[in-house]
Amino acid sequence: MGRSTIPPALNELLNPSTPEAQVTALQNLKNEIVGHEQRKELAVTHGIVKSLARLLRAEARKGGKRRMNVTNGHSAGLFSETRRGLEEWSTEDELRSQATLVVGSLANGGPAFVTPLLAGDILPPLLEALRPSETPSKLVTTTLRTLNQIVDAVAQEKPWVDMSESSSRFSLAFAVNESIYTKSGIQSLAELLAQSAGTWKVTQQIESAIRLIMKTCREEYQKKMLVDAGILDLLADKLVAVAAMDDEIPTTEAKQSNREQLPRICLSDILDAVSAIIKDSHFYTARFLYSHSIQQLFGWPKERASATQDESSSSVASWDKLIPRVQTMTSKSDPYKQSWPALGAYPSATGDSYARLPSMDSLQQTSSRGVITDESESPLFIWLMYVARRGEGRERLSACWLLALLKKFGERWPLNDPSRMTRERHFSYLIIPLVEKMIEESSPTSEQSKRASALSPAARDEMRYILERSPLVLAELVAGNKSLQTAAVHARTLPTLIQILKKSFDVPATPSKPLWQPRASSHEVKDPRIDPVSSTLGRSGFSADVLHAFKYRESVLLALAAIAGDQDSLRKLVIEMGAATHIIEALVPYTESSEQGATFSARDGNPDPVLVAACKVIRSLSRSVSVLRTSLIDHGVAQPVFELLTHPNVKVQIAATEVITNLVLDVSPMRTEIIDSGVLGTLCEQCHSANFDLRFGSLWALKHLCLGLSHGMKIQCLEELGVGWLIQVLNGEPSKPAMGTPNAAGEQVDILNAVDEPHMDIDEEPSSEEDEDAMTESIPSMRRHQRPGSRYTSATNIRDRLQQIKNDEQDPRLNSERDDIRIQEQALDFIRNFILEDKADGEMIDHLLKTFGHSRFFELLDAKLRPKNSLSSASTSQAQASPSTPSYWPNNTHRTSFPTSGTSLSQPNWAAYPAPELISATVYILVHLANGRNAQRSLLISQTTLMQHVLPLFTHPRRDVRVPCAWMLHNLVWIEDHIDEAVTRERALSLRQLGFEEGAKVLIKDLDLDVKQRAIVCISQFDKLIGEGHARSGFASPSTFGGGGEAGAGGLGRLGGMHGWRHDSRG
Amino acid sequence: MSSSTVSVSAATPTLHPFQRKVDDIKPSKTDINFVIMDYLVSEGYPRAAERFAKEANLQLPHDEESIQSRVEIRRAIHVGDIDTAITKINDLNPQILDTDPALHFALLRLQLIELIRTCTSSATSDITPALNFASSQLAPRAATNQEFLRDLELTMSLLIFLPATETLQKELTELLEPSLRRNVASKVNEAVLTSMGAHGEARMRSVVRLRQWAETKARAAGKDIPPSLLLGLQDADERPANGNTEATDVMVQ
Repeated sequence: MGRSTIPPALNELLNPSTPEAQVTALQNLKNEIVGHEQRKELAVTHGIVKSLARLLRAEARKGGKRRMNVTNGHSAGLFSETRRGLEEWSTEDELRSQATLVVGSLANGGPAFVTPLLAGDILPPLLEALRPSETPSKLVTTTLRTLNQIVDAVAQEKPWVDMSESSSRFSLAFAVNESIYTKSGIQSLAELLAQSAGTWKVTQQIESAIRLIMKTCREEYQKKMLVDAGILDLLADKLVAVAAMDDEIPTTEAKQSNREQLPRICLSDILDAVSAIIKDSHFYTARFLYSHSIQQLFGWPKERASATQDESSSSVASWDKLIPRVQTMTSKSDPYKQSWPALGAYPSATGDSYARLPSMDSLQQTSSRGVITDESESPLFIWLMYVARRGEGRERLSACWLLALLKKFGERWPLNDPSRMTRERHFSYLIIPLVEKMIEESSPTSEQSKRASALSPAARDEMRYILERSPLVLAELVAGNKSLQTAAVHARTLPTLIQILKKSFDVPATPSKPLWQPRASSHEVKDPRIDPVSSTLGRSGFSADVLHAFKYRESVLLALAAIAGDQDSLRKLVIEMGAATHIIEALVPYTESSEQGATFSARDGNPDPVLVAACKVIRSLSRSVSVLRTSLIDHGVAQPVFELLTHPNVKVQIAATEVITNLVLDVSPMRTEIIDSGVLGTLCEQCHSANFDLRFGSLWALKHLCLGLSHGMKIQCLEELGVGWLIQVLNGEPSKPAMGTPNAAGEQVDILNAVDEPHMDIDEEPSSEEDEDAMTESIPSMRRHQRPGSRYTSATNIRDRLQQIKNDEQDPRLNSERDDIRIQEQALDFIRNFILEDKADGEMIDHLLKTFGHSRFFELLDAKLRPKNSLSSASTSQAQASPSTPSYWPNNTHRTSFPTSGTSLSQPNWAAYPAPELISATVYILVHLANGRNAQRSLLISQTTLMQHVLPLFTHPRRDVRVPCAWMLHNLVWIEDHIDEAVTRERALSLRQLGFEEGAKVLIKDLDLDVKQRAIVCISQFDKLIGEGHARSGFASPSTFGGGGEAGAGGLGRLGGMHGWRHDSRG
Repeated sequence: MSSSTVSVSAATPTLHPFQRKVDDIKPSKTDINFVIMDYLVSEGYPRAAERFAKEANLQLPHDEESIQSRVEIRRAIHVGDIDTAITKINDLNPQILDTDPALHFALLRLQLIELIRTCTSSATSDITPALNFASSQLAPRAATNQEFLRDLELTMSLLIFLPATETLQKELTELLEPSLRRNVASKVNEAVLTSMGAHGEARMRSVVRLRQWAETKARAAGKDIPPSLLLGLQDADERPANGNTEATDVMVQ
């Protein structure tokens, strides 16, 4: 019987005699257990793990010592050393190798077997064997392979376990990662990667090492360790070595290919490993982009004219040669070519191969620029696109994935990238169709995937990987980009995605039957000498099918969320395709009670990442009011989302809170339902959470909730939230440094006013034109600040740039400041919505002033309006002392042309002011105060210091600040009732004394229509009330602008409409 | 062989325009050599590869060790010594069989067939070893998969029929034919190659498939091409190049 054959080998191992006998025993054992789970189990329960660990440990120690002696300190002979190690392959080495193989085979049994392996401390000796300088290379290869097997097995446990959660500490994955990501472990990996690939053995080692990194690297600390150990640079070297083969310059080719010869088959692993490290980190992305080898091979694209003086121009030229190749292929394979008019109409088409591509304009009439440009992509992008188009399967996928990540980086830190138009065109015609094809082909219902599953397990795994990853790539590509979203939909991806989503719920409840056993499992009495921990099997993980279904369900949901992110029409399309039912299904959490991996089916609930993804889709969809009012309510989305608010995983809570934010808008029909289920208390409680994102999201939701709430509930809400807490949030941390901080170059830079924040801004409905402007403006103006000709090619420039990106991302102070501002903005908006009432009787204002206390409240507001570091009594003249800091950021340089002549206001130092978002939010509170009762209005005006600080804001470069300023003034001088005229006149007089009339005259010249019209009304009110305005105002007669009177009449109406300003859906 | 893939079968008086185009193309010698080398290495002909390398002045891409072990594995399977084959595969990389139950099962089934053969060779011999082997090695796996179960049942029925050799059903004779071994051997070879990060199959096979595909496409599109395009590998031409194995099975031993 199978059982009877094992004991001799086991006996030998448990009671070792000679090394030779042990080797034979291990070999036998290996042959016995490979492919036989039951025998693996038998071996483990007989305590094999302990003896394997003992064996490995002993040999590792011996081997290490022996080789240390041989090496004897000369470090240069690293490679020859491994060579020699190979030759002197001893019985001990064989013993270790066989033991390692047995461990690997046990690990193949799944997570159940990894548990005893870890309990038996098998990892440390294995990791020790990774040092290429001490271990024969054959053993290194074997060890790497075994480690990969262990990592694979662990992935079946519960891949979604969140490493940042405390509960994860007991998970296998955590334990394995802990052991691998140690200083010495990573060092060994780096050494392995640093070998120059030539022989097949070394190539294999490099490949396995890269795989190990790719599979394990997920958390921030891991990325940091890898980058610090120089592994990212090494990976870049490897990537370049492969890429160099496509470089058509003979000289470099000869040079490169002699140095490194990595087969192309490694390419996808390298790309994936790089992606794993740089994902979610702009800094690491920059490190990769600016790494020496990448810079050398790919250079950075030139403005063509200046390419001549560039020393790397030769290599740049060679990449340009790759473009026509890409393009010709495009024009041939482009399936849409037929449907678009030929572009012969463009005379500029000569020599411009892009002209064959239909411009985006024909696809979507969004841009005003119809001319086809012949910008080229950056060489790295060109090459990656080339790889994506040339390769298939994983190679294509990994190239697309890296492209998507790099594109995201380019949006945040644009530099020398082609214009957005060009990039969009490249992506929508070269990449999106590829991704779409991958999704379609890997879909479980497609012919290809059926065929693949009949083939080898490797082919099936690859297909599964593609299915899990390709929707994710799509999500990353189209996120926040309307034209790419449209392109994706044009590529008919949507039905496929939804079909896949549906399919993910149809995975049959694990058909895997238990193995047949020749006789009933007998419960033998265990040998008491065997270590119980390392001889007991752990829990088996989930079946591969179910895990697979979870993973692709998650990515499809994310893809849907990204597609539906910004356009109502697409949201409706998603709904029309029938996605809603499945999305709701994906909101049901998986419960531990339905444990037992074997019987668990893909229908019985969803792991946390799927829940988060489902919340994201709902959030995207709920931005459409009509979808909100129809299908979302029809499908009863409120209840499941509300239940997720109390989910144990904070990430799920955050995602659910973000959905709630949109669901409690007063346009939402679900509002009352959610309020009735007691959302108020939950949200207030969450506001006191330790997690910033949860606090932030909850406050945002409360802000929406609070709008239009009954007085009683508002007051209750404020109580539960706590005035003290609000004040604390508004004050920020006590020792706040100024927002402007010196950057690497020592300049004073207001980082918060830097390039637009990519997140959350979607709310402010930027029109597409504005976006375009921002892009075109910011790029040249950013370049202007560099010395002409230097395009971050020199080492110092690169270092500066990296430092800048690093600070932005990793500086804890900057980040906490940024967070602080975000949450303060929400707090201010909350107050604003709190005091906003349908009938402006000022009751809530009174309540607020009472609970806060007048002076404290106004001081709080004042602090948000005055320049930092200036006392509340400080006047603007102080700010004038240091007139213009280097106007580093485009916004400033652009707006300083704002007319200041004829007024007493001069340009204050905006960098010293709080963030514009805060100013704006604060002024909006003033707008509402100014809309209160007469007493309240006068109270506001009587806050002289506060008012004095508002005045300079009239020239603030940001429109968002000037608009509320104008409204505030407007409200203050507006006469609601004739009885009020006297009071208003008084107010107008005090305002004139404060210099607000002059201020209005400044505003009237404003470029912004909204501001201008408000100012016109204000001036006419001043005139009417005090009656001498006409004589003095030498400028800006209202008729010039027209519609002045109309604006006045519509004044309050408009303000009413502005309640909705903070209705922004959650972005 | 290299030249025959592109050359014309015979000098016909009037050349088809397509044929003329074909003649105009001069495939690069290095490419052809590469494909041949790839074939020799993937399919496991170490000595031929060595000689060819000398002749064409090429480098052997893989180290010989792996070719050698693949040759040994294949030989072992061909002669029916499955035990040795499995041991050797496990020496090379135990993961191959651990993660590919179908392949493992196929090998074990071959071994079972061999056992049954020896058990039934003489009327006196005992069939217990075969039964034991089946129950300990194959049966546990068979329960998990319908196909495995069917295969196992079919194989086990050999025990009953085998002494009476003449009246075997077709299904059963197939089990005894050497082509089954060859099939498994080539699957093993591919699996080993894939596990080493190499191309699972020789590139020549995919080239042949590509050609076939192109021809079908061209015919479907109504392009002007000769009525029959021969590959130049006479035997292979008779079958459509859909299978992975046919075209080259001829060349295997």
